[in-house]
Amino acid sequence: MKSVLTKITTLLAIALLSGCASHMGPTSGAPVEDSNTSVRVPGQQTPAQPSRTDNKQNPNQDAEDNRGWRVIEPTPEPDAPAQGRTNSAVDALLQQGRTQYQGGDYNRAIASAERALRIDRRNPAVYLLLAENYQRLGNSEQAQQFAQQGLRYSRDDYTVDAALRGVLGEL
Amino acid sequence: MTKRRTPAPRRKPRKKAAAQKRHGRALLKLWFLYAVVFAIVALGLWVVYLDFVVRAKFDGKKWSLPARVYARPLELYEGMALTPTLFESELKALGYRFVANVAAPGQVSRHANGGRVAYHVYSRGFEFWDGRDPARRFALALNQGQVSRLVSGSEPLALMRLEPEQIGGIYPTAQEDRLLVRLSGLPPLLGETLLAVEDKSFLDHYGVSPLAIARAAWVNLRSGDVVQGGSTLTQQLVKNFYLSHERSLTRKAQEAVMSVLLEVHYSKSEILETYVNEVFLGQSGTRAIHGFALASQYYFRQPVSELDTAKVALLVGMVKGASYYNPWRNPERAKQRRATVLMVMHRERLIDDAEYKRAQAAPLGVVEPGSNAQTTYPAFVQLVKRQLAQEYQEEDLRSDGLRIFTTLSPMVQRQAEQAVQQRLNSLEAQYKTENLQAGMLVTSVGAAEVLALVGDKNPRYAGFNRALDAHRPIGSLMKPFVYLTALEQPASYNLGTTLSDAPVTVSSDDGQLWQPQNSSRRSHGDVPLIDALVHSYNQASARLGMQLGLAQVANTLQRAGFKGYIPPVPAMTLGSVEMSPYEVAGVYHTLATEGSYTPLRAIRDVLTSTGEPLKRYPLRIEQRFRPQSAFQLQYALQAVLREGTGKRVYNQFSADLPLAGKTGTTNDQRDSWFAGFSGEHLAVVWVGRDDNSATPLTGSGGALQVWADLMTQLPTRGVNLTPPQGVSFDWLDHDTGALSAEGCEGAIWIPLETDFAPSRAVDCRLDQQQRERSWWHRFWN
Repeated sequence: MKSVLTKITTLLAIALLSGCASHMGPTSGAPVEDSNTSVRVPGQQTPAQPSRTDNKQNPNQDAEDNRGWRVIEPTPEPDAPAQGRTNSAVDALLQQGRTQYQGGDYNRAIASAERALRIDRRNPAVYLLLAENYQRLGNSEQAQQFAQQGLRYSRDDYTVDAALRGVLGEL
Repeated sequence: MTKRRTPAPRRKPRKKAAAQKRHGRALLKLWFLYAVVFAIVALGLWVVYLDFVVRAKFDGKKWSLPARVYARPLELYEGMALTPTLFESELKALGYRFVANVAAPGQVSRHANGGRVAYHVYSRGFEFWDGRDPARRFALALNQGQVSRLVSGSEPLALMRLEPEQIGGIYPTAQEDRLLVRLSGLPPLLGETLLAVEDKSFLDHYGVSPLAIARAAWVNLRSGDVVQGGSTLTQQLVKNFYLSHERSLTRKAQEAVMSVLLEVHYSKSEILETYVNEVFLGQSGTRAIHGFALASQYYFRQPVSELDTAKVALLVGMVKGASYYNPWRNPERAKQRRATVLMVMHRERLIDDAEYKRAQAAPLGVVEPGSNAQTTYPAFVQLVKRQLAQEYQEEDLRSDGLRIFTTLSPMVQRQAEQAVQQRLNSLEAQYKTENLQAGMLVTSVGAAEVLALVGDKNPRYAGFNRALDAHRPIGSLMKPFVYLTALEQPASYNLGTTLSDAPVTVSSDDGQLWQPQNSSRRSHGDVPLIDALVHSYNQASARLGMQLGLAQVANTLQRAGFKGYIPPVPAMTLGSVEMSPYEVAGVYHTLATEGSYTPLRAIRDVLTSTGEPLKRYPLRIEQRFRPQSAFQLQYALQAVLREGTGKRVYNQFSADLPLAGKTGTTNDQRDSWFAGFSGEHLAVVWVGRDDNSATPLTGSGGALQVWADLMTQLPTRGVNLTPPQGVSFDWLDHDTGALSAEGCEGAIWIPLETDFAPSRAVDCRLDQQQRERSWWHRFWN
């Protein structure tokens, strides 16, 4: 009787777990955006990914104690993209570009923004700067293109997102 | 009666004769006078003419200055990927000298500590389009392939730009090259040495120095050799600047007159300045090196202001005969000549004893011959010229001294050349064949800047540029555009849509038949759309292309940026379109940016010869495809490399790096293509033969290998994996395209547009095999 109960519980657990499985673990989620993290450098060892079996010290022992059941820890979220380092260069250029924009030097501001894009082409603030400068220059076509491109990356930055939409609204 | 007086007639002829003689003499004197006057007038006119010549050329544009072409400047910032090898080769190409203690611009010091390498650099400063960057000291540390620290003094430095390397030029028809320099830009020692050696009394004479001529004659007679020249600097300038090198008396006279005239009109400093820019100092192939500033770059790869005593002496010594005293071809003679010059410098007290000894002992200090990058990137410079030709007249390009700043990355260029050469050599050895050729283009993703261009297996060869001009059928490289056309109709197609890969026959109105076959000669029945692209099934793709319509497919290729001819035939869907690697990069760039089109750029800006900004080539973008469709296509192109025809790529790369690409092979394997990209770099490779004969290579066997060889060397970021709004990942059933779930048999994980997700779901049959092996099996022991 006890073994049957165990087996039923087991089956239920399997059903439950298989239902949940699609929402956890690296095989089921789209890999987190990699663009800022894995700057792969030739000849470097790739950083070891946390492995699901890492927390097992003695597989055989666990199997014995738990009759084959084992706990699967949810894999930790990979670290947020390391924004810190590239940002100071991009920030400096953005600041320079802002100053140039405010001074009416639109072409130089655009040049600064393009330099920033070469370092990080997914920074929405750079697209905002470009859109505003082209707007001032009367080039509404490029202003619109850059604003829309910026919106692709501004989901996490409310201020910039709003500003981009603002520019689009004015065009 | 009177008698005739006879003496009279006798007197007359005598008188007449005498008178005639006097008359004759007077006439002669008169003629002589006329002649003299005429000569004087003629001489005067001649002098006036020479005066005009002297002034016209001196006041006008003195020289046709070649346009100079520069690579992109290296921008440094913390977190940037950079290795010591790459950094040092960049510094070396710019002529930086490694020293123990950095004291002046152009110097760098290096300290290695375990894996960390630290540099102190004194940059030279440069006139960029957006302003002047001053010379400045900074410190940089490289650790684990990245810039770990960037400071100036004690302040952190956000961004630092080194001066760009000159990579080429557009030379005047006379093939003269020079870098203009002002007298103030020369080290004072150089001017003083020049005067001491060539023309001691320069500051005193009036163009010609009879004393100098006499002295030289005496000295030369005594030593039995031409040790001293009697010509002043002014005369030398006139000879080189205005006249030819023939040696005749009239020419010498002309030279003398013009020298005096020059001195009359212009100051000593003006004359000297023109001299230092005119003097011939070397020959590089067809290019003549004029002026000390260029000679300094040519022989030492340093700006003339940085030259030390020994180098100054060598250059001044070469004035006497640049070829005769060439330090590469005749190093012993060059050294002896330098010793003579140093002796003069010492005698005239321009340098002290210690400096004299040091300079005598110093090596010549010249760089390796032929290491000048000025002629070493011909394929890329060809592209630059073509882009310039759209805006500038050829004549102006050759003479106005424009400064052209390009997108070339010498680092990437060197690596691309190496990848092509080495891989082609190894393929030829492997397949025991010869005459393989290649064209390759590398661009950045986003700004579409051309970073590298290889036109020939031998990159130094400036002939047929295959990257720009080899138009070949693209074969399967066309398929992504067929599939993109489908994905742009989300109501009808997604990556899981079932396509038929059964044999297909296409007929035309006049009875022609086309029956494309899969390269494996097998049919695969019904397949999901993604599989047909990933495994490059011809039959499914042709059928799909016909369903969508040839006009639609052609339109997709045009929207992606192709401006050439697309034959309106069904075979077009399988790539019977001829394109160059450059054009392929143009359209694949649109795929790499998820649908945003930017024309490829090789030029960033142009300045005048004096550093005034002239023109900028700004970034222009245009979203031409729906980001949702483009993202799905990009996912499929990643799958090509994970599971499809391009899976060899991951033999050389870590599975953590997302890359995307497509292989292409044409009939009889005449063309081996690969177009692939990361989040940062796009590269297109063509391998084949110039005579269009068959090769033993498929796309993945040839071009892909070259691509992988390059991309493994480039620090790069992966393809973006975040879907745009409106797209999310889900499981679909492989066989029917209906919804499925993880663990079900035949479930595939793909991105879908949420607004157009299939409504039907399959009955999930748990994938027994997997379970049994890993989970189920374990549990039941």
